[in-house]
Amino acid sequence: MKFYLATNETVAAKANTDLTRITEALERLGVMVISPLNKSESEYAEMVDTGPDEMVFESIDAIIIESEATGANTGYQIALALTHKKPILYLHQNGTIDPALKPLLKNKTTAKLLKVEKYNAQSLNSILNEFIKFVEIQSGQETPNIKFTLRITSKIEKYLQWKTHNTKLSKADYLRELIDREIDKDDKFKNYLDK
Amino acid sequence: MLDKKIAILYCGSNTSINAGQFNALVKKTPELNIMADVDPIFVWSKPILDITAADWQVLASKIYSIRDNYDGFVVIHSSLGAINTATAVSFFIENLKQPILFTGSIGVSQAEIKSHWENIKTYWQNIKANLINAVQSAKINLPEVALLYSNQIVRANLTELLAGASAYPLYTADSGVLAKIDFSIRLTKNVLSKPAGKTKLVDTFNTNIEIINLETAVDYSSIITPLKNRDGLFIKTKNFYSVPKALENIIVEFGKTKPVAIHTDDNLEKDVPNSIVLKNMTEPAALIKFMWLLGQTKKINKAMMEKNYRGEIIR
Repeated sequence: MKFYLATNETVAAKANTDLTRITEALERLGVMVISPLNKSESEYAEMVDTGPDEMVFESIDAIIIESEATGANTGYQIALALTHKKPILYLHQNGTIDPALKPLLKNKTTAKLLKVEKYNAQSLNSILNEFIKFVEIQSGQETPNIKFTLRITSKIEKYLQWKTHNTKLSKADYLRELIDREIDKDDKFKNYLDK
Repeated sequence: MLDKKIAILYCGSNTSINAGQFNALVKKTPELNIMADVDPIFVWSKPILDITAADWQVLASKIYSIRDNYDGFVVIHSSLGAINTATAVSFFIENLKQPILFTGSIGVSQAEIKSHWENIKTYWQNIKANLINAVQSAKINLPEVALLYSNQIVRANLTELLAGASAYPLYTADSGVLAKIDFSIRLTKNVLSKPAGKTKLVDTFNTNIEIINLETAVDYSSIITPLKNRDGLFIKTKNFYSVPKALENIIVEFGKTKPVAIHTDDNLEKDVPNSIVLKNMTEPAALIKFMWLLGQTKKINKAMMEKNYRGEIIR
């Protein structure tokens, strides 16, 4: 999963604890973070380089905006994210949000994609975790699209064959369901995500 | 976020969109309204091939007349005709201070566009991402007439239409790429600096010319009679890099009194007397520039055609 963490030039030029904290929390949760933060112009350009007929916004899953790091591009980035149907998480610490966002929160279509959350150091992880779940549902991440090569023994292969024979499940479906059930009952993992 | 005022002008080929529908589309698109204070302005709605030089003048004159009211202009226009319209506008407006961004969608079939409101909304959805990029680009320091039909912004008068089907059918020389778009608009060093002089409308235009596409087995003597009433002759050599003998004689004779321009991508194998060879401009830019200059004077010389008026000379 790939998120764009928006920032403005002034914030990007100097260390920002809030954005660093958000980046680190997202990375711990397995999200790849794209941001001009802590990247040189050329490194960043390389990260987002596409062919002339490709829109870079199509390649990300969501964007995150911290209210203190907004700039001239914020409205534009929100507009593009909405157009590409990408969820947006607008984080603020002081309870005030940009008035320009209010029409978006009133509009049925855009309100579905725009989440505005007040956060602090304690609540950040759980807010991000909830947002990731929301993004997964929105972008159809529940559809398996990560390729994973697994070598198995002939005994396991025989078992999978027997187990899925005359069912609508493929061997891969069966294994995925098995792992999903394990995740559902793994409280330690759930605690880890909620940290 | 709403610090800039942008005019969005409709010059599209989706003929089912009228002024009222266009106003509604712009006003009911919250994504546009959080970026800038946008005003919809309906100019025309007609098929690409029905667009005339008079339409170009209408558009340029409209932008000129409201130039002090806006920070930038976005023109919704089919990608197919946009090069010509935008190139003409680039010549018509001198000392341009604000950006004029042509945008729309690539690959929307006219056959798919019907009069139903649902289909108009589909069309709008298709152009929305480009439109948002264009509105943002119209807010920045980009005093150019440019095209935005992908993730880059290119100078219109340095762009040509590619032959054949392509996901992105426009070709622009590297020196014409003005900005790259990713999560922001990143300008290149090719952007022209803001001119100091007063903005002027120079939209006199002469379409009374003969245009010849070189081809084998053509009887060029058939143009002699119509040429008598023409004010100029423009020849597109395409890939031939030479002029047939029969046509050369016509050029030499006609060129004694009226201007003849020969557009080529490379040097001609042999000079043709009484003609101006143009090889450092795109074909659309050369043709439109020829008609634009001819609108101002009947006597066009090589220096005038080679002068870089609007960044149209390929470097």
